[in-house]
Amino acid sequence: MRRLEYDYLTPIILASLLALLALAVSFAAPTMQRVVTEALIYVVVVVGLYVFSGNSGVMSFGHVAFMMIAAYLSALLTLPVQKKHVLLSLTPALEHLQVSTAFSAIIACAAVGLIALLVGWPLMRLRGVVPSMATFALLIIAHVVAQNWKAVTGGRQALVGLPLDTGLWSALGCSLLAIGVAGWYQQTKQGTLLRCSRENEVAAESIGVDIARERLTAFAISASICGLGGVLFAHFLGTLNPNTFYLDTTFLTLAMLVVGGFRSLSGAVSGVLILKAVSELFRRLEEGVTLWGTDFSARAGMQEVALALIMLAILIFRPEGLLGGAEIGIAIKRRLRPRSPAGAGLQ
Amino acid sequence: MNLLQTAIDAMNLGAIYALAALGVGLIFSVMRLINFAHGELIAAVGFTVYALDGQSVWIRVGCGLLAGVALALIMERAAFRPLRGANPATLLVTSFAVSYLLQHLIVLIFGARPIGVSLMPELSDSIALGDLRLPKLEIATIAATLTLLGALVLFFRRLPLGIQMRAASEDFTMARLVGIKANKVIATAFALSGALAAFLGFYEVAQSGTISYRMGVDLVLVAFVAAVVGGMGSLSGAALGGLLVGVTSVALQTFLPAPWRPYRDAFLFGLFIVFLIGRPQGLIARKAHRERV
Amino acid sequence: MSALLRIEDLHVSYGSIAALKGISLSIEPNELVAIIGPNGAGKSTLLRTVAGLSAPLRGSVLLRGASISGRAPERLVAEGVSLVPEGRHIFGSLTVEENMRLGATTRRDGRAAVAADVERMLDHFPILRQRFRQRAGQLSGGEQQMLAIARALMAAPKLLLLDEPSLGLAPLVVSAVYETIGRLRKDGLTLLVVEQNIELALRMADRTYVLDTGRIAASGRSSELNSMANLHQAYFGTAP
Repeated sequence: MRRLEYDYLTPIILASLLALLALAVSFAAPTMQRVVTEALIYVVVVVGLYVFSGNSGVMSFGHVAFMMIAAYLSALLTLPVQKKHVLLSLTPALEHLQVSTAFSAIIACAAVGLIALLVGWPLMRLRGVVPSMATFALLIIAHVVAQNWKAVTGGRQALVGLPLDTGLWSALGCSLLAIGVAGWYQQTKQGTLLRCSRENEVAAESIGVDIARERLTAFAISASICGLGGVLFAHFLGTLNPNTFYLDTTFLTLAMLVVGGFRSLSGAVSGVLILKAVSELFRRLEEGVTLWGTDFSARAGMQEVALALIMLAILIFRPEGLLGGAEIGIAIKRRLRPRSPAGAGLQ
Repeated sequence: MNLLQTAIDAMNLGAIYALAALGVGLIFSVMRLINFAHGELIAAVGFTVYALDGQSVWIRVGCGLLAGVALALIMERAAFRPLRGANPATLLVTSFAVSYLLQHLIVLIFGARPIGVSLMPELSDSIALGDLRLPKLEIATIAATLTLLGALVLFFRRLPLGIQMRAASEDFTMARLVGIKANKVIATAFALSGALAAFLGFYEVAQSGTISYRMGVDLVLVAFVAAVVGGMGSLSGAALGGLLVGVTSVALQTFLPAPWRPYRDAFLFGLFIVFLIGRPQGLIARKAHRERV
Repeated sequence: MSALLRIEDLHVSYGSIAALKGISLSIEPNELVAIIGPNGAGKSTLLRTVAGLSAPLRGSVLLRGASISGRAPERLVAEGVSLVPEGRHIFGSLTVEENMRLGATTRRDGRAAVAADVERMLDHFPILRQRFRQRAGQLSGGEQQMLAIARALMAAPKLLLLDEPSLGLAPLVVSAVYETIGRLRKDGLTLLVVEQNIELALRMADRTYVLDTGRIAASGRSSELNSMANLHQAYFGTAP
């Protein structure tokens, strides 16, 4: 029996693409670098979302909650002691604890992964749209708690003064890590079984797949990666408030996943790049641009409207996303190899 | 006496949530679509009422109703009809996109800041009955809700179109095979949903005195909880779910210790998750949503 | 030739899976034509396509000479094509009466005519008269099957499509069902029936088609097909 081929090519190609992008922009103006840095952070988040939703077929609205929790955890561990004293009321031990951003990231991601395991365990056996609704509830709960637990999160007030440690290269590094983990996971036995259940729940169960357990594993990995994205964001913006990670971010990340194609890693990454480019275009338009001697300026709200229209167009005309579930590596291999009668393996 | 006051508040909130849950439940029952954009129907009605400020109440309410129904039908035709039969995840995300689109269209036209509006100010005071304060708006809401529910029950039991809709919500394909027009049934569901949203819009404006592009969001989230709790696909379930969630919300508000009250919604959604784990099919379970093998 | 239904070179696919690969058949008015064949042969797909639930890739479906392929099922009911799908599919939360009245959704000939037909159906299926106001979900399997057929007949169809009407029913019930079908044929009804029960199909039908993996493997008058050789060939692919 022919072994399923391991797709090394896709993660390598995607990683190289992003590395080249980072390299190219490192010679450009700092504003451009910030744009690409932000895009790379979104790559982390959307790849994280893909690990769960893309592999299981269950749309999650809760990944942003994990971003938020990790971000706040990291903030608690990295804010200058003085700031903590003023803005929050923590136990002295916690107040004086201060670690490097990198270390805080590790702690935050691990913590969020554990939370995901605990919280996700009862939810993963639910069927239909119910788990999606449950993840939505998680998002709301996290938001309400963040808004009201003034002692720990500062409540509605923004936490300021986070060390601005997220730069172009750290964002790139994390995005490569995320792609690596996602690419590895989806080709493990568990990941593959999960993808089977995505296509046909009943059939997968009948061959003995424990859908709930596979989903839970993916959920935890996904939460950790999204958490990493949250930490990156927190140290990119320097400030944090409960609305940073709520419905707007949820919509944007879901749109990025859907536009590229939620069934493949390549789709997730390309969705980020495309929509970030579009949003950057509109941001420039909002600042005003001169075309053929006339001043054009987009009004506030146009960017979001355009984003929503693009997403709707994709959903209606090409619901599988622009890449349609294809992986770059596999597609290239197919082109290069003459057609073999045994077929090209599982897609 | 305080308990009676709380009971009336609970019934009022229950009535509102029941209507909201019916609005989303109606569409889910015929299309298996969870319409996130229902909140924007409410907002659209609110903004219509605002745009007609100065006109008579009847014109504002009438146009608001028309706006709700019209927008719902446009939504169906433009965004959801092409996706009929798509898998629930795609439908869910699509309705999310429509919601986002409409919200930001409102921002584009009216700006992002909340705007003050007044509608039926005569309902803003209360009737005093001994120790009780009965807000006129709450009484009107409860009465109107009961009337609407009664009308809906009549519609679904007596009118041919209503019976057709019940059949379609149970087995859509079979309904088509007996000659029930798919487009007509779905359009009716959206139109009714728009009408219900209109009523909620009037309530929100009368109650809070403001409109904003996000005014429908909170209500619609609770509507989903209520619809799921009651049993998606069951209309009496939606009403029951709404009542239950309303009562629970007010109970939490009343009986939670003071420092925990701001977390009321967290508790509400937490209870929702617990409920989902124990009884995901809802209180009034319909046929299994699982695919038939 | 005034065939009521003519199918020419019909190709139907589900995604990349070809279910029907060039089916051609015809049905004369007042005939009872049976379709038999192994599981997965495409029998249900054939009925579903005629009823409008699937659109063909290629080929045509002609009702009284006019093409109906690709039309919506609800329109086809109005044109006189009614399908009773496999598994009964009555509206369990509605009453027997409501189920039957829904069958008349597409009729334009007035309440009196519909009421008369309800009476006629209750004469054909007396058990439904007893249960008239009960929730349809409380009926037994056989009663539900009768209701499903009665409901389909309420549309006053010219062509009735039945998908496995005997499935899951006790033999007595099955013979009652087919007895009713026989009476309806006298009223001018044309029927296309998919049947698992080969012996029953061959006994009731004027002509039978044998379907196998999307193609017609054999066809003819029931007497011709009774030869075991033909059937063995069709079902197992080899001579006995």
